[in-house]
Amino acid sequence: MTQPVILAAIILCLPISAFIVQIFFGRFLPRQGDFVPTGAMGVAFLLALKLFFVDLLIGGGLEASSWEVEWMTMGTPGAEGSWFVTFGIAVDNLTVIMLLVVTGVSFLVHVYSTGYMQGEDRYNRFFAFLALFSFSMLGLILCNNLLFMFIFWELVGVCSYFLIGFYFQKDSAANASKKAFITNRVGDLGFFIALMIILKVVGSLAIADVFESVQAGVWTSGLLTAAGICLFFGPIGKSAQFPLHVWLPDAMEGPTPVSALIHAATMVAAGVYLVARMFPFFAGPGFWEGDFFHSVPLMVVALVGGFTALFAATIAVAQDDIKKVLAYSTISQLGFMVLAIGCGAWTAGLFHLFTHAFFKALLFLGSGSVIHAVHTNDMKEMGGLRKKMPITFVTFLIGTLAISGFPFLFSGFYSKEAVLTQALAFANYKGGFLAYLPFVFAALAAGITAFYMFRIVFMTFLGKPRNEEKHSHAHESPLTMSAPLMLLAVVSVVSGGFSFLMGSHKWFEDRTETIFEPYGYTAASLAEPEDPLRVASLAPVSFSGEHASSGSVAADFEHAHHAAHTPTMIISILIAFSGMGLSWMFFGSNGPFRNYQVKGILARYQKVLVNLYYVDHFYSKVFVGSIMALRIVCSMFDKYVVDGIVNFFGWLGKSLGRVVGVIDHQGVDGTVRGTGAIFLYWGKSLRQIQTGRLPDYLFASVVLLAVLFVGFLFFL
Amino acid sequence: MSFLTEIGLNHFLVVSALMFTLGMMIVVMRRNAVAVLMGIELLLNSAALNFVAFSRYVSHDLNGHLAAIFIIVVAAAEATIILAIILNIFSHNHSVNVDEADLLSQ
Repeated sequence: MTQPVILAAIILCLPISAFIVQIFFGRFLPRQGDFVPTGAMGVAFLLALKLFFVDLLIGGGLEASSWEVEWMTMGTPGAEGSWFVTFGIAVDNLTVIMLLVVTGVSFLVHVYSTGYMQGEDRYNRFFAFLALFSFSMLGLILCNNLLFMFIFWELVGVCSYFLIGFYFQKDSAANASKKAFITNRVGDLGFFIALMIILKVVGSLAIADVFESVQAGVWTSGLLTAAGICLFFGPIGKSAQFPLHVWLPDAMEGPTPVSALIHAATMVAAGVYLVARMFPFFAGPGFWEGDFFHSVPLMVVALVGGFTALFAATIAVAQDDIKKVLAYSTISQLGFMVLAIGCGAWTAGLFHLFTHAFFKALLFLGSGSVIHAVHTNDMKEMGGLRKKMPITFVTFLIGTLAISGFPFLFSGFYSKEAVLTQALAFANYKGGFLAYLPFVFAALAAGITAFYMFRIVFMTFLGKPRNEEKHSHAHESPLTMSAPLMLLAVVSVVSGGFSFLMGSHKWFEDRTETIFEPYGYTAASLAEPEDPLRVASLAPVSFSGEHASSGSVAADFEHAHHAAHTPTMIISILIAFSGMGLSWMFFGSNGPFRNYQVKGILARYQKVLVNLYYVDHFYSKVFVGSIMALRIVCSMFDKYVVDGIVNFFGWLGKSLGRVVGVIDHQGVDGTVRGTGAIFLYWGKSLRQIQTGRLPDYLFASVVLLAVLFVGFLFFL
Repeated sequence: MSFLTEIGLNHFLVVSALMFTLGMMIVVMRRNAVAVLMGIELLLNSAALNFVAFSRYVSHDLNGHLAAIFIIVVAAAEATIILAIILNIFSHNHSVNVDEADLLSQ
């Protein structure tokens, strides 16, 4: 075990220990034990910081290392078809980045929760679930085996279920938690099918084995495509991509810290993480030649991501619930990440994941702070909170600028620009209508993002208070809540500034591009494809660090990427500013269209948006409705067929009983009674002779004597 | 026609048989318990007559006489017992009708 692996193992063990302590002993501890998970996450965060800064940033990246233990053997050991289930921890650059995101956001959310959840019922259990979630999420990141990834995947799902339904006494929360869980099951079914296909083809679920099999050409292309698309169903559910996005907005019924941690920064990013981690699997055998532009699963990923980005962004415009806007914004941003990976840039996707985790957590915690102050989610009742809550306002504004892609200073700009560049390069390289769709979707979504995010700022913090009573009671949140806000705001700015110094997201790209090196993917291997493993071990050179020789797919794409760089930067800046400008025009207190009333076709479109494109209606009508109909059919079946059969057998038994009863009654009892009756009859008959009168007896005996006498006389 | 001129054993036996038959008929037919008792006396006396007759004509000793005397004694004792029984029956049935005394059938 190398040092990073040991640290990662400690990070993994801390929250689960905290969970065990908290769930069993939490309520006996002072402050209901909230300091246990918070402290554990704090320590984990420090360890992750050490890994991130010392090993990743300064050290220039970690050597991928892993540790694994055989957990159990499936089938007869040694026999054909048996396989080992191994539990392993793998640490590489991507893992460290994710560790920092999860432990960092989780720690800040823990701290924030000590303020936000103060005085709530089941306060101790809330922290226990947060700790369990952190453990599951860390396990999901660290494990190097798809089976364990699936287990942790389900664990984060169940934690999400617990935490969305934390206020389970509210019907809406209970329903939302059910909806989230069931919707995720739909996606997880696809994930599970993919696992089965992989197990059948590869015979192992270790990620390294899967990649090896893809490279070795074990897979037929049809099966690989099918498995890739099935595997992508998991992220569609977990990362709330269209058409399974419906659970995420409802999940906002949970406490706001939960929304920030699970439904903005970490769990929903798990799907993105999975797609990035399994990128060579999605890309197919061409990956090792640097060609991941002709893979069908990746195209599906890109289109689904792009469509989701635009789709959710438009819905966000029409929502008045501040958390709902942020939820749709999250869906939209997840779409960005998925799109980037689908276009072949797992680095850009992960970078957006990284930056988004911080600024979206910031936005959610900021909205939580607002909700805490005014006790409503409805933005129509807010307004003018800037003076009342200066810290929240400034930090929220920073988050908004970051997510809107305000140029140069904020992290979101760099990640979004990286995504757009990749999408445009992909489109230019590949050509064709479908290839341009992701870029168009993403560009439009970026503009709309700026629009609706500033709409929140204008409606919540600026302008005049719409509800004087709520406004007058509003106050700045306590330090436990504002401190995480400030920290996250600093991170959002600093990572942007850092990117500015490094020239875009190159610092991130350099470190995440190498994550597939252990599987034989390097620029050098592209130059000499005949012996990739040997070259890889001798000269691990990153893919884009050196220009690959012209003529290869990788080199061609590299040119396209360079060509796309400047246009996208201009486009993204223009789009961001036009989004912000439009937002000011409509919602700013001096905006020229501030009194504009939507009418005509726009009003109709607004109605569609308010109704979330009727997707939820459609699901509740078609799926829930059909299941309800099926329920009636089942009930009918049960009532008439099953009950009929049961009743028939009951009837049969009853009739048989009756027949047997008759036989018993008439036959057996008849025999018994008959026997009795015979004796009774004869008894009665013979009784007649026994008159009881002595003379009769005497007469009889005399007659008998006489007969005997005569008999003796004549016969002897 | 010696049996007309000379009284012998057979005469006694015939008388005894007649007595026995009469006694038996009285016992079986009469309703009155006292009459039945009389019938029984007849039966006993017919037997005693047989003893005496056989003793006189066949064995020429006094054993038969002895038996006859025994029978007379027994008959006396028996008469007292039977009368006691009849008294009990009377007190039970308020009649000495033997047909009504059918407790044995129960």
